[in-house]
Amino acid sequence: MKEYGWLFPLAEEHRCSSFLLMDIIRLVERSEHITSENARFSFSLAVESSRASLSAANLVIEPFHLTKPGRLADFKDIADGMNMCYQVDSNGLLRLAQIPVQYRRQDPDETMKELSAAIQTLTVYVGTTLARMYSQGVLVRTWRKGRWLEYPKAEFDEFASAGYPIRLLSAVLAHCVRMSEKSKGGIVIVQKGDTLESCESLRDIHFSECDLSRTPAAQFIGYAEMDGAIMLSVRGRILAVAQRLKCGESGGGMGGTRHESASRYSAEHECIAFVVSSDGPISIFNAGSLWQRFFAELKP
Amino acid sequence: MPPRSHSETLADEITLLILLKALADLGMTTRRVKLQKLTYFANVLASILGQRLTHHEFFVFKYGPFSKQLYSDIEVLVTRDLVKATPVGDIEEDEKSFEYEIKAEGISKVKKALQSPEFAEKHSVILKTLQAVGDLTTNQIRDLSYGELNFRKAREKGITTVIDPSYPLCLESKRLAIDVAQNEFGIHLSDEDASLMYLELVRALAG
Repeated sequence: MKEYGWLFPLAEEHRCSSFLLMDIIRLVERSEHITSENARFSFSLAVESSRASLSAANLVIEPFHLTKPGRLADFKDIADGMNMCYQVDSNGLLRLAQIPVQYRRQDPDETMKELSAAIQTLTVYVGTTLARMYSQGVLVRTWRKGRWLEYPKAEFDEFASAGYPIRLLSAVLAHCVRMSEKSKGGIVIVQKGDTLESCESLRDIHFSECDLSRTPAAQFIGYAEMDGAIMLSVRGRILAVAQRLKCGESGGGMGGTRHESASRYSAEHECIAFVVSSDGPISIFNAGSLWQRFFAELKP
Repeated sequence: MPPRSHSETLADEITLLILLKALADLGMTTRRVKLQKLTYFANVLASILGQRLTHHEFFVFKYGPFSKQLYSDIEVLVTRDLVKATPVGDIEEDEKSFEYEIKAEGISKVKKALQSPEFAEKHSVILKTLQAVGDLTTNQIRDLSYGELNFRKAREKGITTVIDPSYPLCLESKRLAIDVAQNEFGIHLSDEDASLMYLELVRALAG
């Protein structure tokens, strides 16, 4: 129940059999062993919905059951979720279906999310490093490192009254999730003021401050990869990157170097510190204490 | 257990045809032993769902649950040319093995049967069973059957003990699963969800 309890309400919501969902889950869990010419490939699924159905693809294949993943290798990444995906019927049979042009996005993951919202169904994108399940446009679970992870639910309300915009904190958390998914560690400090305090650049660089909202995710991850902290103001401006946090010796004994310095820094400055470990967990510190931790189950 | 009536035997034969047709529809195959275990699990699931699938009497055999009546039914279906039995050259459960495939005449009988709500319900249970265990090999499904609680209980009394056809232990587990899900996790489980949970328990017990 602990591991798969979430699938029962989902089955009820979509009026489909929990047996079917379990078969989909098992297929995703087995996906790392599905290879073609010794290489993994991505594929996507959409559960046939009574509300709307996808048209058959130009390429017609003999339908095959979800429990026969070997057949997926025959078609490699033809159903990667950009132009085509597999449509799963109520008996678990897969057929190739065409994704309507208007739902196609820049990558298959986004396309499956859009498709899920558009035809009000359950879709799954299975990539080579992670898989995501969407229900009516909402991310339900991410399969990563052998676990079904729920998207972090952070109640930032208590910080809103202290002047931290919830939208900004949620955006930072979203970046942290992406970093975690790419196994990139880093620290992000959200501070009250616009002036940098008690930090110095780790590298000989000049950084022109910019808006977080206009910074693509890949660029943000690139900043995080430079080592050191990314400093943000509550106005949503990235003030500096690659910063060494200068703080005293008192600390919470939180473990790794990043956690230690984030904890100490948040004790000495009015800020919220996000720490992403390269092995996946995300920790949020405030006033020297660990406020919340996500993906703790990923810690080896 | 009283012997099956003529109408019960006929109904069981049709149910077996439905099972073979569903296997073919899903691109799955079966041999003698797997057919025994699939029918057994379909009966267990049906019981959790408050239905009765077949009237076969299963007893404890050294290779898991076994029904002589089921063998007899499949032989009748082969004799009537509704099912094709292809010898596969292996020995299963100390006997020569066959692979079974439904023939055109059998398919038309199934189509006719599925017009009745009784067999349509059985078909639905069979499809769920196949979704859960239909892809298993003979050895895998046989090993899984060792984890089924009613079989385990009967096995304590020795080989040839008849397995209680009302499958009381899976009904008890169903009630427990529904209570735990509601009380501990706040999740409402349908009978179908509970049957899936029961199969997970069987998997765990089978190791």
